[in-house]
Amino acid sequence: MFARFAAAGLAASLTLGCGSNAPEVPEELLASGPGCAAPDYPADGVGTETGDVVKNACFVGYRAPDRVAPSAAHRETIAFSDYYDPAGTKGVSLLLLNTAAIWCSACVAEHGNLPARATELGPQGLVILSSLFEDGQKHPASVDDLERWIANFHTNFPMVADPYLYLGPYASTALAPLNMVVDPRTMKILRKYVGDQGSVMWPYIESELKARSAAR
Amino acid sequence: MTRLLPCLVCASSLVVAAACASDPASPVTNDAGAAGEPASGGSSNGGKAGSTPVSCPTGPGQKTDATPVLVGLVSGQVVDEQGEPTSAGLVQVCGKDICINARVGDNGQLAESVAQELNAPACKFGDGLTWGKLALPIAAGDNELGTLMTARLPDFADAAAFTPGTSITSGGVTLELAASAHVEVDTLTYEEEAQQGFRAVQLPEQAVTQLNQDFVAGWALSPVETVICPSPALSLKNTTKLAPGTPLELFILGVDVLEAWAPYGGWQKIGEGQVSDDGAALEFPDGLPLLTAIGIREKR
Repeated sequence: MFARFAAAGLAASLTLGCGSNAPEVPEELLASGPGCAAPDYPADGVGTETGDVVKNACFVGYRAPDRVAPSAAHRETIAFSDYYDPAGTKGVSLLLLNTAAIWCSACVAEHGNLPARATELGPQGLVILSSLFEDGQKHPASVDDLERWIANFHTNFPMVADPYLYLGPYASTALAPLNMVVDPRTMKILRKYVGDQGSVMWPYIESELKARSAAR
Repeated sequence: MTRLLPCLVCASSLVVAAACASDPASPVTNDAGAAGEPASGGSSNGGKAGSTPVSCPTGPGQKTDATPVLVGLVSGQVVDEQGEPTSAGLVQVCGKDICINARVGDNGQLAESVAQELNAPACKFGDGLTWGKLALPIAAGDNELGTLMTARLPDFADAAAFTPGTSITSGGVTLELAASAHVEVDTLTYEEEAQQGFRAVQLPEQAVTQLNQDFVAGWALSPVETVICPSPALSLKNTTKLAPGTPLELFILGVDVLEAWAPYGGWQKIGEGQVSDDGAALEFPDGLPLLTAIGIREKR
C-alpha cells in the first residue's frame, strides 16, 4: 500500500498541470486528439473557490462510456480544456465537475441518479464530468476501478480516474462528494457544493440552463 | 472454497443463482421485504445496474430525518476484540450526503474535527473486509464516543461460498440458501472473488453493549450489504445460553444511505424467532434479506 501511495505521490509531483507524461497515461493517448495541450485555456484568476477559474488538468477516462465499451483499448485523455467553450461553439452550456470515491456511500447513492440527470439535462447543454479519486480502501483510484464503477452505474457521461488528486485542492480529499458548477465560457466556478446537495444544486442548474438558453 | 459463478447478464453486482438468469420469469420473492418494490437491478447499496433481468426486491425503506446537523469533534478510541488499539481498516464520519474519512492514530485514537453539516450523521468503524462493520449515530456538536470495539472477520480463505440449495456457516451463523437463491454482492467494495464469500464473527459483549440496543448478542456479517432473495433462514449459535423457546427479535444495522432496509446508522427490527427446542440455536425462519451487522433482543 505504501508503495502505491509513494508512486502516486512521486507521479503527482512530476506531473502537475497538463502536457506532462503521467506514467498512467499511455503515450499514444497523450499524442492523439487535443490531449492536454490547451494554449488558449484561461490562465488568469485560477483558484479553488467560487468565482475562480478552474485550473486545467487532464486525466485518463471515457468521454462517452455508454457508447464506447470501457476497456484498455478505448481509454481516452480528457482535459477540462476539452469543455472550455469561450465562443459557445461546442454546445456546452454548463459543466458540472463531480468527485467520487468507492469508499464514499454518499457518492454511491449520488451516482445512482446522475445518469438520469445526464439524460434529462444533456440536451439542454449540461455536461457532467466526474472523477473517481480513491477506491474502497482509500488507495488512489485506478482505471480498473473506474471501469468497474462505470459498469456498476451504467455511467453515460464523461468520467475519469483522478489518482493524483487534481481535484483535491477544491475540498479535502478526505471528504466526498464535491460538486462544482462551472461556466464553460470562462471556466469560472459558479457554485460549489460540498456533499450531495441535490435538492439545492439541481434547481440551480436547471434555472441556469434555462437562462442560458433564453440568452442565446 | 467453491468458486462463485458470476452472472454474465449482470453488469455490476455479482449474482449467484440456481439458474443464472436462464429463467428470468422465475418468481423472486422476499418474505422480509414484502413491502418493497423490485429494484431496477444491481446491488442494493446504491450501485444500481439498470438492466438485470432478475433482481431482489428493495427493502421497505426507512427514512431518517433529513435535517442536517452541524457536527463538531468526533472522538473515541477504536479497539479490536481483545481491546487492543486498531484503525479497524476504515473509520468514517458520514451523513447521507457527505462522507469523511477519519484519521485514526496508531493508538486507535479518533479525533476528527468535522465542522460540516451532515444529514443523519453516523460514525462507521470497521471496513467490512478485515473487520466487522459497525456504526453509531452521532449528534450535533461534539461527540465523545468512548471505546469503539469491532472484531476481526474470519480469513478470506475460510469464507463460505453462496451456493444455492445449501446451508452455509461462518462464525456461528448459518444461512439456509434456497435452491432458487439470488445473491447480489457489492463488487465495487468486494472486488476480488476471494472477498465475495460469506464470513461472520460474533461480537464480544463489550462491542454489543456499546450499541446501546439491549441486545443479548450480535454478529458482524460480510460482504456487507449483500442482498439475498428469497431471504435465507437464519440460525445462530446460542452462545448466550438462552433457554429453549425464548422468543427473540432480529435487528439489522443500516449502513446504506438509501436506507432500503434500515435507517442510516440505526437498527431496524427485521423479524422474530426463538431459541430452538434443544437450546442449541437461535432460529429465525423468516430469514435475513441483507448481510450487515445483526443484533438479537429478547422479545419484550
